Amino acid sequence: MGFYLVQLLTGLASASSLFLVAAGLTLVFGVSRIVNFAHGALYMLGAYLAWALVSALPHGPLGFWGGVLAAAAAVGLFGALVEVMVLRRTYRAPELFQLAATFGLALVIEDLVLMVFGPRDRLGPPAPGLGGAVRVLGEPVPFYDLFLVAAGPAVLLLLWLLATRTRFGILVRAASEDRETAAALGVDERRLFTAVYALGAALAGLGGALQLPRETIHHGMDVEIIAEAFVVTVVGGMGSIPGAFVAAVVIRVLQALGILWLPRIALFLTFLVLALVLVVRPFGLFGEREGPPRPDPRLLVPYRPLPPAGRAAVALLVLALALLPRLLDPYTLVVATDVLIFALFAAALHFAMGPGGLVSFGHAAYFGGGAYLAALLVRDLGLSMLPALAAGALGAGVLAVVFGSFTARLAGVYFAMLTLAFAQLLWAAATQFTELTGGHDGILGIWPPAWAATPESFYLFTLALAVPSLAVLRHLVFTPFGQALRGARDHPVRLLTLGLAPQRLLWVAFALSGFFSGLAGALHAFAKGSVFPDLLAIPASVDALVAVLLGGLQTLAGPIPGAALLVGIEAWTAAVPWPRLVLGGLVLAVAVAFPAGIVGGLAGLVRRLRFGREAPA
Amino acid sequence: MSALLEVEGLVVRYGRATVVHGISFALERGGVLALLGRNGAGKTTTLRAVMGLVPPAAGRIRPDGRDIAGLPPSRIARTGVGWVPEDRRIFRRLTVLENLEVGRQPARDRGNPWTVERLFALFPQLAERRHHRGHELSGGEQQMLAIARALRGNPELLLLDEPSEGLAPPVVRTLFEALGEARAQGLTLLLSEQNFRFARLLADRACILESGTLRFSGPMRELEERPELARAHLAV
Repeated sequence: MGFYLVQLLTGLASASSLFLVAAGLTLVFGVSRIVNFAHGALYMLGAYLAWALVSALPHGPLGFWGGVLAAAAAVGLFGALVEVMVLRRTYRAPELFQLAATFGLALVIEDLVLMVFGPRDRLGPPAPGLGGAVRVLGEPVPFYDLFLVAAGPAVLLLLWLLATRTRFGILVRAASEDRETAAALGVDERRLFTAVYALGAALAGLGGALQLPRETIHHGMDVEIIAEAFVVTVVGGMGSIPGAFVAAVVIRVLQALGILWLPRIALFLTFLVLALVLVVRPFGLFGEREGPPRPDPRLLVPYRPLPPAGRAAVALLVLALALLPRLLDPYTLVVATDVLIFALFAAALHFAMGPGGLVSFGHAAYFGGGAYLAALLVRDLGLSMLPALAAGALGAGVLAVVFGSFTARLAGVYFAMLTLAFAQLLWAAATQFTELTGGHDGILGIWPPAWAATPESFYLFTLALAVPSLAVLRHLVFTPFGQALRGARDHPVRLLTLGLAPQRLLWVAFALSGFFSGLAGALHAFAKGSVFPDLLAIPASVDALVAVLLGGLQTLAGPIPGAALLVGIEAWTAAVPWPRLVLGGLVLAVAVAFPAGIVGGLAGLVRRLRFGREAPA
Repeated sequence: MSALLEVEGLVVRYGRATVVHGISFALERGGVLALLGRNGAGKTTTLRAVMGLVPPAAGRIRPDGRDIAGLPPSRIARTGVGWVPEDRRIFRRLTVLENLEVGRQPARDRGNPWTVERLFALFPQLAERRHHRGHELSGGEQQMLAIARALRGNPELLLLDEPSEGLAPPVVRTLFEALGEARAQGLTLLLSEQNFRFARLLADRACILESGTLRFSGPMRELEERPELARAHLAV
């Protein structure tokens, strides 16, 4: 009995930091509608800063608690600075660009932390006066854990007082509900956004700083917490701080108890809770139903079929690509193969996001799913490459049908979050079921047959699959199905009156997107000869998102140069000293300077040059 | 004549559709101007443009002589423009008192400001509901709150978008009396209305809009003497 109580207390203690991070995330989202990918990085920054400050300050309660609070304040100040210098410049861009910007920001912070604090893991001192353990029903419980159990509700109370008893809190709540009316009543949005981002950052920083006596401070902290913090904000209802508290407690306590019952289940539980809650309450426990997201008019540019000159140019480009093996060395050819595969993945994601308006944060599920399925079939059933590729693509398509049946009712950010959760579920499965998947060691020895074994032949094979696939994805947009799909995206009700089922159209589009993502993933498995859980992880999903955004969401051709650019940048930054700083900085620069994406930006420039100064539609 | 608001050649576009085609009007300090017209005539869009909620494609908007076209709504609000939106847009999860706090503009609390007490004296019904949340209020109470909330910022010019829409006659009467009292304190009003009778009682000048162009602009008296205008352009 005592043992269970101790696990319960451990769960509650670990819920506090998660709550702090999620509270900041949900606060920022509520007011500015930004899904802040950088929140995990701010949490990690808080932990490292606290470590540095506590180490530098004199020992004792004042040094320790002073250091922890100063770290939180410093992260808040850093947040304010970042908001003013970077994020503010992206508010006029479509929401997805703000997402890309915060992801770039996360990369930059990760490398900055590495640069300033070094690569070593850091161990904090015990909290003065809160060291040691007390016995609860005969079992030892760290005293600091009990402190954390109380700290969570205390912060919740403070935030509640702030929200209801101060003018700032009232303005925050008003702006969360209706930004436009608040502005029309004289509420200065710019100052409010800065203040809220700073507060959210400070909460994340405090969450990290409070972990100092509890766990090793390391460079994977941000990734560890961000997915869970997203889940907590969604389960609680986006924008609801009490919801974030309840969700953090439920999830962490379930994990702490579930681990006793079945050690492997802990990772799944989080995402199972999310899936269950969203199926029953699509807007989270404390969230309020929101109207359907208004599509950004800037993204509703009509797609145009290629004119004959364009077709000729594409034919020439394909011909040139087919001739590349004669020009390039084997290493560059491998990179070119990566570009083709990634372009197919990005184009598949774009098909869901652009014409379908389904913003998926978890497309790695289908890419990685296809890759794993193909690898398993090769290893365990001895399938050869071609049937394995077909099975990988089909399997990913089926996976998208299944996941899509859960997500179809959701819209906007809740849809995005549930797709992320499903991807994390698969990632957890790949890391946990080691007998089947090899865990972090992956599955090795997935090589193509002899006829496609050289870099040249595999490149040509990939080209022969990727070009028709890309053509099909593009062609679909101009078919009656593609037109009905855009109708389902923009005017679902009108589509219903025409006797079409918008939900089903979107579902089919999602399945097709999954199919081609799976094909790309299976190709990737054979290109690398192996699969690892990374293929299912958040960065894989984000890479595809960034490629789509780099190319421009409203251009059909965009994902291809977007993918080429990203693979090129990643290949190049692999050799520079601070790759994430460079990549993140570039993503930020694009989000700030080219809100229509690179292809979209160039196309807009060409249009302006050709037609003079025409007001953008 | 000191004009509190001058609108000159205002053009507003949504995408490629032009909704307001270069209209001009002026409003004297202490005056009441009604923008009349049917649904879709451009009344709401004109008010939203004055508030800065839609960017004007061309034209000048000058309250108190300074051009505000292109400023963000919060800055326009702080030059002394109050906003009572068409669908009231009460903050549903905030109480009546909290809604009034959002409308407060600390820098403008000078002279004889609209304090919460004075607003409750103006709308006694709201005083009873001070701790109720926005979504618990009736339509009439929401409209009163929307006006009180805008007055809390002590504006010089109040923009009212269809204030009488969907309200029962006694409520309309309360609003009419309250606006009359606010006007007696020197407030200038610009309202859009489809309810010609309400507008006639309140306004001293009128503009008739049709498809985004001005069809009439002059004293309310003149409009009353020309019933054929009202018949042609208004739903009376």
